[in-house]
Amino acid sequence: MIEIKNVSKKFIKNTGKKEKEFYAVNDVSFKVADGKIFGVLGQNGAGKTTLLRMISGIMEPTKGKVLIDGLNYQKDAEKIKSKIAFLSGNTKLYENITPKELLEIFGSIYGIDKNTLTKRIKEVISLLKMEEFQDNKIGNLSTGQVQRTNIARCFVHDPQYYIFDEATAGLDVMSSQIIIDFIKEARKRGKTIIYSTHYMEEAENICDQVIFINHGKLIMEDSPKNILKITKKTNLRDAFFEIIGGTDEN
Amino acid sequence: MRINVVLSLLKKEFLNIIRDRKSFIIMILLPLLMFPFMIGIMSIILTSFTKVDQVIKFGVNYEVTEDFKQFIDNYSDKYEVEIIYDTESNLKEKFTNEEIGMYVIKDGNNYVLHYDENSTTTIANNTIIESIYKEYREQYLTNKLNELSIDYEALKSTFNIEFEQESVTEMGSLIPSVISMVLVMIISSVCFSVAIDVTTSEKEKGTLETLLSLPIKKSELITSKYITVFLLSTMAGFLTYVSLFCTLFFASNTLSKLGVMSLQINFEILIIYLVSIILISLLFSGLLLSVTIFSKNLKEAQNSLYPLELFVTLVSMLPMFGIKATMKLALIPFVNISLLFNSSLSSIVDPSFVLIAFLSTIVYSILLIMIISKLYNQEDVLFNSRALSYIQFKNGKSKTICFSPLTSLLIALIVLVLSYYFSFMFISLSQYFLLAIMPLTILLVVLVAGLLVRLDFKESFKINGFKLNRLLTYIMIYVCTYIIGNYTLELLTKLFPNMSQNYEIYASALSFDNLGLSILVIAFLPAVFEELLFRGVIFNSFNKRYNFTVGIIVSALLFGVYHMNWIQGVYAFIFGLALAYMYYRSNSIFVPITFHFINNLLATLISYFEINIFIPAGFNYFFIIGGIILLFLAIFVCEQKE
Repeated sequence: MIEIKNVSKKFIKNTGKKEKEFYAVNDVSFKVADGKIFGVLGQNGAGKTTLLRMISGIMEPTKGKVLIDGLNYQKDAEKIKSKIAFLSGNTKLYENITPKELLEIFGSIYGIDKNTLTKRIKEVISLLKMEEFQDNKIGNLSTGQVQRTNIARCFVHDPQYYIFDEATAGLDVMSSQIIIDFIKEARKRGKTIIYSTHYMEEAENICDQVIFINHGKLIMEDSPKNILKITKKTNLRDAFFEIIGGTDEN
Repeated sequence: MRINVVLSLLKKEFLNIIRDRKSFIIMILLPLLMFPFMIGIMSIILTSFTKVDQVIKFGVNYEVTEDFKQFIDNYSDKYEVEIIYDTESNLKEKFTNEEIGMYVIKDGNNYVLHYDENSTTTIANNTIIESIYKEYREQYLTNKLNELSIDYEALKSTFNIEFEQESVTEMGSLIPSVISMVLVMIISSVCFSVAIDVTTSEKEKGTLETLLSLPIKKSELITSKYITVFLLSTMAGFLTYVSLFCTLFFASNTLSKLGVMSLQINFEILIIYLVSIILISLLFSGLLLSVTIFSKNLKEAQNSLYPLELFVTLVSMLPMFGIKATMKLALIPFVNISLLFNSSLSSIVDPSFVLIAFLSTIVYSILLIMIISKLYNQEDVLFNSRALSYIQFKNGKSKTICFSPLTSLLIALIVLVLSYYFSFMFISLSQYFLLAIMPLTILLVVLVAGLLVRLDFKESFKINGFKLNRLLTYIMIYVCTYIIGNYTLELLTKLFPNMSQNYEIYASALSFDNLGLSILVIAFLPAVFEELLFRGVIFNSFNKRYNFTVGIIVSALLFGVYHMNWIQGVYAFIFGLALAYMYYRSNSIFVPITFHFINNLLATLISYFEINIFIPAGFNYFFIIGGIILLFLAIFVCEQKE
């Protein structure tokens, strides 16, 4: 269970001469139930990335709390991070290391013992069909192969929570399908996925629950079906604009 | 700290660096090729010094005797000597055209050998001609004396001179310093490239975000990076030695001509070599890492590293200037290493020096790691966003100025250099020159420091907001500080009578005959410009970056040190506290400038008219305590009105 309690994140923005404070994430609260796909939707710059970075412990919230299975980052950062896998569109891997070595290194950082790890790596590699390039340098791989390697390194320690930040942004249909399939597969095994995107269609198909974020604020939380019902629209994109328009007028 | 995590991180760093061809070349080839290259060039230069032509030509302007011709023909089998006969002017022309390297002019019984000292190509030839003449003279004298039936050889043996070379140092005194400098250069450049690889490029390539999502502690991350840089630079140092010894071994013939004896390697010296490599690497790794880890990008890292590297290389050259190893110097990083290295090559090693150098370097390195770990804030480093860390918000305050602790140090350093510069100028330059230079220099420092911390100049130097009803409290604060300052000084001079030594030099340098000029130079200009710097820039930026206490103490301390002598320094510290407080409360630079001016004016008038201020003896404590009570009263009133 992931609980976000009144989380805010303040930045200083340098606009010409004077520096301005602004909230990238402003007083956001929600809960993510286990075994669900949870979509975080919003435009570019809405604060999705900052929110997910705080959930995965890369950033610290200015105010509020992030609780994961009742643990918080101030006390048990390492414990929480072992339960989480974070993958973003910007996530890069080391170019001079092979996928197999990468999995070995990451696995041992996650504290998996050697025998279990060797078995696990074999499983992961055959599952993601990485046999033919497992011993090539990552720098020489194609985008799709890198993406599979990236998923493999999220997958190696079999975490309960997957946090995917715009993971499909900039990928072609085939490569992004690898990720979508992976997410669906993970839910079947009872895992929890938090998933941010600005492709509304993508979210509409796979998410159990979504939140809309605009200017750092949470403006709506519900299941895609209910949102469509309330807004009387046929797709999430229109529903989103409807809701934004509504909030701006208020 | 979990060892297996650090080991996994190390594996990652090593694989990533060693498989990168560019880094690999720097780490392996540079250390291996440096010495062969250097010594190769040296020997090329050397052989040109010793190279003798097949036919040695030289000119004479007189008829050479048959006897001399025969002497020359029998002189050597290796080369021929050709004599060119011509007039003096023609010979000179041939000499300037470099057809001949030397010509001999006979003047009565004098034979004058003309040659060019700076020509490297003719040195060897000329030495031969010179020795031909010298030996011929010996033979000539022997023959003449024999005619007089005097045995010249027997005569010579009554005053015999022999030369025997004995070396106290194994190598020339310059050579070890050059080797140590090269070693420092190689280690530092390897450190440089690895440190950038593990920090800045990780950030630029976007892999740091991945790394930070793993369950890794800050200390584990930094330790693994530190160990990577340290091990690789140690390896480079080790390779440098291997290459040095190989070169010395294979090129020993050439080197013995250079005057460099072969190195005697024993166990003790080998240990010292290893220790010095480890020490240099330990320090460099920490130092360079502490710079690169906080740099936003490659360019910033390089900009801050080059001056650092230059400085360290200069320090490593110190033994060249004949500085001797003492126990105090063993505590100074880099200096101790290069001294240690130097003494090890000349095989004079003091074990206690080694021990102190070793221990102190390890302590410095551990301190460096601790400081880096403490300052390393993931968000600032990773996202360059200047995000406010949660610590600052815990105080319930948001800071509007963000600059790194390194910048703070830099500002302090600039002020120290400035004060040293002024103290030098006070003694050596004319008063009018001072008048022009001083304001300009401080203004420059104000500008540089202000830009460094991105200060809002308009807001810092504003002169409005000065309220007359506050004036009374400010006057009270000033009077109290004047009393406290002067009596503290009075007490201190009693305790440390030597304190006023430097001050008298100043006082005499600053005595002007013209009252108007003294008021301008001593009272007015410093008041304005020093306030702009110490209150406007330093207090303001530190107050906003840290807090009021840090701001007031740092600005007053720097203001005190700036005066470069104890008497003025102590008083300036106390006065600086008061000025900063006034500036803070009034929010106007005009207030501290006014009181600074009044204070300087009083001092100028007192010294100009030679007024003796009556100081009641024995009441020092009473006055200080009274002053403090009054001061607190004034501050209390000031705070009340707020």
